[in-house]
Amino acid sequence: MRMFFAIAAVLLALSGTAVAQSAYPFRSQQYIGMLNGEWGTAFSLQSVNGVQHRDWFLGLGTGLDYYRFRTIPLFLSISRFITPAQRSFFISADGGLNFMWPELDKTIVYDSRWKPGLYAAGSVGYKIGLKDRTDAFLMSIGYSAKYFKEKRETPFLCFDPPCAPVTETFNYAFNRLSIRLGWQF
Amino acid sequence: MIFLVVSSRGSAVSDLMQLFRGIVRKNNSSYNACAVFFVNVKNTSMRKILFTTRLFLAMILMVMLGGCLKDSVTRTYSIMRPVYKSRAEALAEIKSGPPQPLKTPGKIFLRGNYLFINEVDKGVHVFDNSDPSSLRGVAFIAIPGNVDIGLKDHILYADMYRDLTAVDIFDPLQVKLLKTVRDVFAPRDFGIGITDIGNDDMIISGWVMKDTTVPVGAETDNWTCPNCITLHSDFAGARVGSPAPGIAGSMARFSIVNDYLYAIQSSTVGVYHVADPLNIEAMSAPWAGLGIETVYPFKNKLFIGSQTGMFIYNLNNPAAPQKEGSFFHASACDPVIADDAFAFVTLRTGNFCAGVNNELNVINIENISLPQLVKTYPMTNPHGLAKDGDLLFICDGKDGLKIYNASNPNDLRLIKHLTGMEAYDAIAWNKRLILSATNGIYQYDYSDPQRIRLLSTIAVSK
Repeated sequence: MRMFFAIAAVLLALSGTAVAQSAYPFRSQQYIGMLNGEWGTAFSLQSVNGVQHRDWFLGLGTGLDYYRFRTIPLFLSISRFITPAQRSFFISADGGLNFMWPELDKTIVYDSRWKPGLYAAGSVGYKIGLKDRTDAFLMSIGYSAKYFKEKRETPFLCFDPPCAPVTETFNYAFNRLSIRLGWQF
Repeated sequence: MIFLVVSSRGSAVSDLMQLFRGIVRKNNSSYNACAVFFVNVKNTSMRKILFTTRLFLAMILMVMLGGCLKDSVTRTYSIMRPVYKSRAEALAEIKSGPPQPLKTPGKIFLRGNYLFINEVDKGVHVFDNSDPSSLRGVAFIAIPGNVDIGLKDHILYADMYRDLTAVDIFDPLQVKLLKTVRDVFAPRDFGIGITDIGNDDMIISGWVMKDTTVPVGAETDNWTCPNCITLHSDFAGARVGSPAPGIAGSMARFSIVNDYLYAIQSSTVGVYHVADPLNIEAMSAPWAGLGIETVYPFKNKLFIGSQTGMFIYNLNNPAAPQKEGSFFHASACDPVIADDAFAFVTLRTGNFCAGVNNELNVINIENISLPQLVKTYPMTNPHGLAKDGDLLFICDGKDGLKIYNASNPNDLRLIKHLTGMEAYDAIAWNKRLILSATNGIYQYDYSDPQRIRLLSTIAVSK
């Protein structure tokens, strides 16, 4: 998680620099979403904050991803609105890292160490802007992937050697379709 | 899963049908999971409705298609594979060689000015302990499958997997194998389907570790690794009954009292007459119960530690020990030591050790036939223990070594707590403490227990 906060701080500082310039107005996109994949359907929340320049939007996003494991993605998001109209399709791409936010389970006897992995998403969406305002309703559908590693170590004393180290490494790769509804201001 | 595709244009429907047919031909599982229905709407009055609902339909379609996406979870773990050699070859290799670095310390045994340290499954290190502040390696005796050691006179008794070997170590640099007795000890089960039972002409001489990666389902929470169930017997020393010849720790699978060797077997205590190492005789094997683990001799008694309790045998007839008393406790691993009036039993949890207790039980054994619990003291993960006079030494696993004043067993008082090592077993003798830990062997001077002084260490070689 230290890496998460370090990256977040750097990216927020960069976005703050950009906001200071009037040609790059600040925009904030708040999404509630659903992720659907082999494991099932899960809930997600995202907040992307950044700047808009003409038809482009660049922001730093984070949120909660409850697909299989609770994770916190931290990503850069770039979007392109197809037209400058109030109503417009847009495409967006997200790339960053996933950070595990483990849920406490006292019945688990092993120690888990989580290594952040890739977070990537791509989507197409539609923006419905309010008249004379920058506020807009957003909806998008697309693909989302999250990867990470888990290293499990089960503490034990080796009394009847040889005992292989009880260490297992799990590589997780989750591929989901996502649907998001959001609000931009 | 069912998909519904609706369009106002026949060509679009036709294209989509071709596309989906191509997909299902390539991936049969997708065909099983997804059924797609195509509806061609020609009524132009529907176009406005389709225009406004197309996005939502597409969203629903995409979400439903999510079931066709596959997650990938792989698990990488290490497994041990045995390397075999012939028994004759292994026996021929039981001889002394130059000192070797300590890698996996096991049992410790102090005899005169010599310290014997088991190198788990490899053999026995011999150290000259004339100067406790400067241990000197003398020799290494290679004995495959060795985890227990004991000495009588100049004969080293050591297990070689299931077998008992008697080795003359009068000259540690020129040891001689005198005798091998087959099937003295319980078979070892290493888990993953590997035991030392089977081909009697072959024994396991080593192991190789191999990483294996396998795909697993997304549900991995309840998976347990095969190596987690390989744990069987205990670590650390054996104690010889006669005080002069030698002294060891509390967690032994066999022990020598005068001319008899008592070996913990699956559920019995095997008794062997070892007065003549060239003619070792099996005498009896009294039933002691399931889950027996350790044997500790004190005077003319044997204290057997089991996962369910402590059993006391008298040695009035050393060839056929008789059970005199027992004390049952919650299921756990439990080495035991004793003095004239009290037995001290540590209970611990662990993968192999069932139960939930990590504690020290003090048991009054003045009435041998009816041991009574005096008091229980909470511990972290206690293993071996040792006692010298009023001082009680508890190896509390990762919590290090705890030294108590045990003059009043109802009120043990912690005198000193040494941390920084994962302590397993100890020998306390003549104001010197020899401590076995995962990272090495420590030797202390406890003449003043408040100011216990480190004399020397033998570090584990990485």
